[in-house]
Amino acid sequence: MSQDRKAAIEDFVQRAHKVLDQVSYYRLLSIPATATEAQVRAAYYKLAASLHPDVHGIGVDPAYRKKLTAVFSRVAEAYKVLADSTLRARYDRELAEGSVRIGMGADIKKKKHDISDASALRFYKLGKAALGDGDYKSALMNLRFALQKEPESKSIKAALDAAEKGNA
Amino acid sequence: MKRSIGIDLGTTNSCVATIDESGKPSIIANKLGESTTPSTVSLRSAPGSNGEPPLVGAPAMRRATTNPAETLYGVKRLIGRRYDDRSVQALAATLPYKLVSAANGDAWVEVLGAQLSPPEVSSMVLRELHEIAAAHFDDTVHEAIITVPAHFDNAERRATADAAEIAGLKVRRLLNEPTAAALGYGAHRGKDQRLAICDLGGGTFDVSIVNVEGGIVEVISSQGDLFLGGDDVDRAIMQKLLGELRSDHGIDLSEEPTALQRLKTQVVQAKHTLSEARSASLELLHLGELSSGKFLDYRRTIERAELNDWVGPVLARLDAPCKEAAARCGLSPKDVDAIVLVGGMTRMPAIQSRIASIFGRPALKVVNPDEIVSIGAATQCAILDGLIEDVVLLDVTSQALGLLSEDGNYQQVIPCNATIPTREHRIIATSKDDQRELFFEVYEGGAAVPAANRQLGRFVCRDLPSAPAGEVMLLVEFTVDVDGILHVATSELGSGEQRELRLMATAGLTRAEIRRLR
Ligand SMILES: Nc1ncnc2c1ncn2[C@@H]1O[C@H](COP(=O)(O)OP(=O)(O)OP(=O)(O)O)[C@@H](O)[C@H]1O
Ligand SMILES: [Mg+2]
Repeated sequence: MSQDRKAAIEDFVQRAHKVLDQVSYYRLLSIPATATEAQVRAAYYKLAASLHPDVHGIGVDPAYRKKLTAVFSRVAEAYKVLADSTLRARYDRELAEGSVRIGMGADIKKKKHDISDASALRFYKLGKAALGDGDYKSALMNLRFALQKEPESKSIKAALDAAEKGNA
Repeated sequence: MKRSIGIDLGTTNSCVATIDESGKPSIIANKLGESTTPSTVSLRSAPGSNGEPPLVGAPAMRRATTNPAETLYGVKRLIGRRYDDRSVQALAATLPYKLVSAANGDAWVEVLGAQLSPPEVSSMVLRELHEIAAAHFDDTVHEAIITVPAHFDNAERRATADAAEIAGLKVRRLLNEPTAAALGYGAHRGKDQRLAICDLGGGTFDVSIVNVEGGIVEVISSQGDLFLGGDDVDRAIMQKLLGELRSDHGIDLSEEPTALQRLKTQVVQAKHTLSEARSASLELLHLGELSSGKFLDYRRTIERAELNDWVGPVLARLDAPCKEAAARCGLSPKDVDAIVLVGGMTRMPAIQSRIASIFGRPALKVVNPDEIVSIGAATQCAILDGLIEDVVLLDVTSQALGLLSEDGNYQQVIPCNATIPTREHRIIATSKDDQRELFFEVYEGGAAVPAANRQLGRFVCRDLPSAPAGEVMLLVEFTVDVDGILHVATSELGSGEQRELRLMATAGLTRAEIRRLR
């Protein structure tokens, strides 16, 4: 593989990893919301051919490899959802409500938290996701917003604490 | 030079292949000049007793008649399974050797008074294949790619990797059989198309729909019947002949293991002959005692048409998995562009025509259907070595993986059919003030409640900082690597400190056991 291509792939991985929980599947695959199933697959195959660790993951450092795997698996997830008409319809509905990942809304609901305000919950979700990715700045921002909407929530306070520790 | 091999570790037969400097794959024949080696092991002394070493392959098969309780075959059906698993229990009733439950509940075998884990038995087959390859190269083998059925779960994959490690082989990759078959057939070099890979071996039938497009080989669905294969054909023939012996000669062989084994050997032989010839003959002198006190010299000629008639019910069972595999990706069987036949049993003409009628077209000509999988595994070595460029295999997880936290909340972390490698995380938190330890459990399976799934491990994170309830949070990361094997890691949220995980209980062999067995 040429050095140029390697650098281009690395650049994509770094950028995509930063915004993984903020961009839609469409953005991630760089396709319009009107893309046909064949276009979805073509976009995915093109990305997979670059991002698959067998092609691009040999001899890279472990921290980068982690990011590569995270990006690759989200790209694959995007394809799985968008290439399936039922899942895609469901995703489009969830996306319109501001959730960039399928099923995440339902997932958080199952978890124990004490948030009742819908927009506080949305920012809390974004904050937790950013926390998971080690993106403490974005976590802080989202969680502070969430706390403004629902100042008494213990769940938000705990998450905010963790984000502050991480950011320090 | 670095020596890499590809191994098809089959239920019935195994096969090993390698690549040359240019990446071209070829089969390595065993000492008898055969391309496949029966996955049969016969123990001549108690395991670990330093007595006579076990026999592997054809010599082991020959001992099945005389020493059935010490001759282990089909161990792939037990590897990574639990003793109380329903399919294991069903199997136990039919096997001439003894199954036992290991201390951790895994299914083990008991031979000559000693207990043996399935990975150990498989390691004996792998060691033999390793030796075949080493003799071929006149050099040591460094790494192997080993194939496993697409439906193998984590425990089964891990147990297969353990078997290789015990055999002193470094596993470069575990590769799914249908993916290997697609490569072995050369799909990556061909035009863009959708293939159906139909693999009928000794005991299992697997159908996979594979999409090939611009160097990408993607398995889009896999279906199978875990209990359909050459063994069923053998059983159908046996039943017919045993019935005839009873009605025509008044001989009941059902309680005569040696006579049964002799008959079985010739039945399998005849089945193979009938794939080429129109008829095949059996001849067994002194097979059983007649009412007159004399012994029967049994002679029987089987016509191909007769055989096809007897195996009708077996053939009928091919339909459902094929239709299901196509339906899973929104296709009808007729939409598939080409059919590839894999597995020794697809040499039988009646099987070929049945599959052709399901898909509405004849299968592609494959010279050696029982070699394709190992050729594909060797081809994957060439891809990883960079000898073949611009080919990428997209494989998927076979089972969903979930996390049970202390508060009883169970959540799926990685779905079934996720493309590998894949990484996902969940956050868990303490539920009491000053809680210093946090437990969680990992499960495999698609059920919404953990009790209906299989526990893979119970983990504990110790020495957490003391803080009010809910303030200490752990990030639990699941990574399923390209082998389809799960790795779990945790770090403390906030501090980002990596947390050592302690595995409290798990299926399979421990690291120490594997080291001891090497
Ligand atoms: N020429 C032949 N004609 C008919 N059947 C054959 C022929 N050669 C082999 N078989 C049958 O094929 C079966 C073994 O196939 P194969 O070696 O592909 O199985 P395997 O890969 O070990 O099993 P599995 O795929 O279930 O793990 C046996 O039942 C054997 O009798
Ligand atoms: Mg096989």
